[in-house]
Amino acid sequence: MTEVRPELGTFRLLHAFAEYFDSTALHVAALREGMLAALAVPGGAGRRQLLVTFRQNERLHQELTGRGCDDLRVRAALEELEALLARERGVRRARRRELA
Amino acid sequence: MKHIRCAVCLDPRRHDIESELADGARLRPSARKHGLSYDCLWRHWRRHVTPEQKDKLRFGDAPAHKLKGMVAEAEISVLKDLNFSRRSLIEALEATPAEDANARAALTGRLHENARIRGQISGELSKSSLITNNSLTVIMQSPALQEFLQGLAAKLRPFPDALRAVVVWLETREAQALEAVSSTAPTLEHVP
Repeated sequence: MTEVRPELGTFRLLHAFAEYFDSTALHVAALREGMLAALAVPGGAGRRQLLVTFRQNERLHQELTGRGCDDLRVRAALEELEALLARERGVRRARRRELA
Repeated sequence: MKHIRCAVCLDPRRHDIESELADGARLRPSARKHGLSYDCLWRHWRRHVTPEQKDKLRFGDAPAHKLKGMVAEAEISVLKDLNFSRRSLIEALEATPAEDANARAALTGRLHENARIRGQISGELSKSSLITNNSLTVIMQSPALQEFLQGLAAKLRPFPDALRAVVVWLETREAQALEAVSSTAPTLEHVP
């Protein structure tokens, strides 16, 4: 049996459930847990990319279950992404203004 | 096996040349690139490299599920192929270092795409928002679920704390579900 890293425990367990029940929604939930574990690892590189993937996960979850995810950690990640994108938009706007 | 009179067999770049040919490179351009004669390369590829070696060069020491994935890709079914690719992606994700968030995000993105395609094929995801799938599945009576719960209980038996925690959680969930049902308005209201 392959060794499971502690932070991937929930991810592996949910994937096993999803395989067993053959449920795409459970697979999406497993991916969410995996992303949350990755987000908890300190170190900034790639955080933005990870946050963008959260939006993809949330959209898929919504399409599969008909409602958004209630998990507060997911809400926090999505809010962080919104803030990041707004900041980037602001920077781009300022640069355009400077060029004009 | 090396043939002492074959220039390719004795060439230190032998592995690179053979890998290129296994990947589909043509003999003539390859011979020109490496400064060898076409006939010599043709002879080497035809006579000195066995079909097994060619397969190994083409697929490497691929695990069985990867090879099965290739077969599925060719003929069996899209869903099976998606299963194999999902398994490979999960393996890659598990092998990725925890600090490499970029790689993990990229792999997770691919897994989402995989889930989306699966959902569309299996009908879990409808293509149009105007279509609503109304289906009722009584999973509590499903033999698969019963088997699953029995298996889970058996695996948890050596760990009484974990077993108790799971049972408490299931009971809480059930109580919450019952409460939700009893708090909703009755479907038929009798007004005398």
